[in-house]
Amino acid sequence: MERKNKIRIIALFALVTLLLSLAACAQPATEEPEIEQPSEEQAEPAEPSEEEEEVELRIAVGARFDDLSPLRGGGHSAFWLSMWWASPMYYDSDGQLHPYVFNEWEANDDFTVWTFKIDPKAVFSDGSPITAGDVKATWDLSAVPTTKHQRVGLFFTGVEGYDAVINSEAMQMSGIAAVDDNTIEVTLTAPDPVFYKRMATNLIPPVKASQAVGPDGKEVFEWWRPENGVVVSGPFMPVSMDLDKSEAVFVKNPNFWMGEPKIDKVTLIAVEDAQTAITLFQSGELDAMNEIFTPTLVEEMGEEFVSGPMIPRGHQFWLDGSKEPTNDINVRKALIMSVDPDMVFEAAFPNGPGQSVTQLLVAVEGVDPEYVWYVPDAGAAQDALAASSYENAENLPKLYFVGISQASHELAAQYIAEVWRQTLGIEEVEMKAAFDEYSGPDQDRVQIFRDDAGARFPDPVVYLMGTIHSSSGPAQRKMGGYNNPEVDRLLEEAATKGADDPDRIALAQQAHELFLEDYMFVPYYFQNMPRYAMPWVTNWSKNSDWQVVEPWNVVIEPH
Amino acid sequence: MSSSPQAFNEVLPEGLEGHEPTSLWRDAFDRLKANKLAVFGFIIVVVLLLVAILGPFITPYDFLSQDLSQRNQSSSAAHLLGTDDLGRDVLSRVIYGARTATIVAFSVTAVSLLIGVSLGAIAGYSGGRVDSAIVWIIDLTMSIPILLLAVVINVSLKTPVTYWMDDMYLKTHNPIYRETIWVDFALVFGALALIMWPPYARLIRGQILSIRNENYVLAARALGFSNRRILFRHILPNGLGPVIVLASAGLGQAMILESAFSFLGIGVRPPIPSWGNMISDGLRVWRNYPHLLAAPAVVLGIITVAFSFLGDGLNDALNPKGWR
Repeated sequence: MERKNKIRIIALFALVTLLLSLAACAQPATEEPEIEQPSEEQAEPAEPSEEEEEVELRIAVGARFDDLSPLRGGGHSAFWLSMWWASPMYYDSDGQLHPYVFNEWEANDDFTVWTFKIDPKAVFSDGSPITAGDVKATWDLSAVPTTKHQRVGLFFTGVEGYDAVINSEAMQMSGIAAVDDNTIEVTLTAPDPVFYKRMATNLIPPVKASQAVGPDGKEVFEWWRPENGVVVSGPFMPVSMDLDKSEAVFVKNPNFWMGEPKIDKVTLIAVEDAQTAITLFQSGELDAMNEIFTPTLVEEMGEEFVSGPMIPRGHQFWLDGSKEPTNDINVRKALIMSVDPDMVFEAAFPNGPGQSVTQLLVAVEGVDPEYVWYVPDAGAAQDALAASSYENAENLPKLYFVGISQASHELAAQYIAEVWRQTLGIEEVEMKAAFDEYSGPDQDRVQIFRDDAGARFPDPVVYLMGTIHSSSGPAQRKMGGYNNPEVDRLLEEAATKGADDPDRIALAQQAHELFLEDYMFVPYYFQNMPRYAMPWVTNWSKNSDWQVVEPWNVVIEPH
Repeated sequence: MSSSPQAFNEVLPEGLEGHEPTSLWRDAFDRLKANKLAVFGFIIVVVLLLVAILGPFITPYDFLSQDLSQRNQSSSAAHLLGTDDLGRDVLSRVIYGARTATIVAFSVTAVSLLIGVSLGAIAGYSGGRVDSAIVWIIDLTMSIPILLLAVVINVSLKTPVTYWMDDMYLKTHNPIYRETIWVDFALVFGALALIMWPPYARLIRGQILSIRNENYVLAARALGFSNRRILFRHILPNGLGPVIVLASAGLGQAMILESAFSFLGIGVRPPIPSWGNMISDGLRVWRNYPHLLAAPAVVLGIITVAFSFLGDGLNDALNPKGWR
């Protein structure tokens, strides 16, 4: 190499090193986020122009989307269904139930037959009424396996004929009947006093049967595209979709019956990279996003950006009771009692949002704020390990975490692993990111699974039935077939009690406490429902169904 | 034939009398010493080795110890390179990362050299079908994408081997089975070694092809020396210079690959520090805490450039004809 070139390389390298060193020595960003706030001057009403400027809500979807069917029951684009589809009923951010497409509902005495009335004002964007036939067709279509609805079981398990449809033995649920144009009746196989609450979701929004359901009873291919003349029931209707670019544009639905939307236009674009999204937010090019996680989100975007009500959902490190060594309750005790939940939360979310876990229930009736599950105690944890069949850390097999899929979870897991190392002498811990790795040989080995669990509406029995009952996903898959017959019995009895019956909550609390005594999870954090929207987006809140509440009232302030 | 300095000077051209005869390697070392950049690179590499060897004794803190009250601190007297998002000392983790990088780099390069030089020498010296077969193997191996191979190994082999070691530990309580970090080294980086040898083989083969018809080799053959003696005493020593140069660059390359694999999550896994996973962690928060990205990145940059300078200097030293 020529000497001149060498000198140039050295100079360049020195310059880069200097710049990086200067950057490294710089003070960390202050807590005040560098977000453009609307100044007083800016907040003044704009000079009236001859032609009013279009008010646009620019939304980032955290993953590319090529399917905007409202009947998929999941995916990033499903967070925005309330923008263009009206749900049967809806919850506000305080957990209060509101009528929407359905304006009345009632059950028979034993809660096995539910009748819903459709609001006569409820119409599609072409002005045609939403009928009971549309509702039945939508719900049947959701259960047909080829529709690939990800969460249909949450809503229709227990409806007569559901099993036949989900097993491809029928195309319609026999328990759902359109009594007349405005009345739909649902017959259940067992009493469910909170069935009506299950219907308050945007994941089964009534769609126009003649558009969505084909002659064979299956979903019509891409019926939901504007090119195919889709009619919708929400406050906004699609006018263009470029799915290759993952972009969709919506405008006001002129026939929306709940009130005229205050925004003219809604644009969905996919922004997969969190840092890119933050840059776009900070430069004022985005208004809202469905989900965004970075370890410094609060520092960069401010507390208001992530503020929101607590929802009935918690993330825990579930311990598999069927694997060694977590099949020994004393090992589980040791692993749990050595960990301070507040510190786990502090490690993962030093600036929030959310809150640390002290029990399993959150944001539902029946949570006793005074209840103390355990007090972190290193000595008691060591004693528990000594009392276990393994006696000490030397005899423990390696511990494996899975579900360490983002930075915050990794920080929490690393914190827990370090506490175990210092308190219990456990040196061998491994962490894996993806759920996919929970397959093959992992099935027999992984003992700790980080995952969230909870309910889509605030009910303690539903929350616990979906989390700790032996039939629930977490009990079967994350806790290795957890089955406490007394917990099951209490929950099953609670599930037969009316929504307002105090015994419902009391039985749930008993089941909850029994479960905690089994030491089945290392506590992590309770989740809130963050705004993920800029300060100038007002009247903006989300509910536990992960939807924007009353999107027709959302306002974009001048900024 | 006498080889004494006196006899040597008797046949030297006028003006060169009094010069001590020196070996090829001594000449090369003298030229290397004169190259300041190479010396700089050499010093950095030596420092790296010392840090890697003495790591546990010179780290100011336990590289795993956390202090949440001290998280994301910038440089201070207590923590020269600051702390990370769990309050761990970054300097201690960078030092431990040097161990990881050095173990990977030297083991990968050593295995690659062993395979590459052996096969290259056999191919170059034997010629004919043996040469064709080895060249075919070289071409085949070079067609394997390194990253893809690492991913495949990580997915298909690492988990079963780790579990097998875990079982063996529980049966035998032999601590050798406890440290499953070695699975990363043996499998992921071992695989690297198995596919990084072709450049060495190609180079040494080319060297031998050009050397084997040199007069001194023909003379050795005429004197009836064995093939082995000719190969190891006459051909290889004269063809090793470029290989040493390539190996020095290979060390830097192996460190970058280790970092790249760890960055992608298929190399060394947290909480064991590697420069790659530290860079990956730092990248997530670089806008607020740039020191977490800068510290491992700058160190990796310095080491890589040092190996490059050293390799460049070795090239100049061992290849005097090309020296400017």
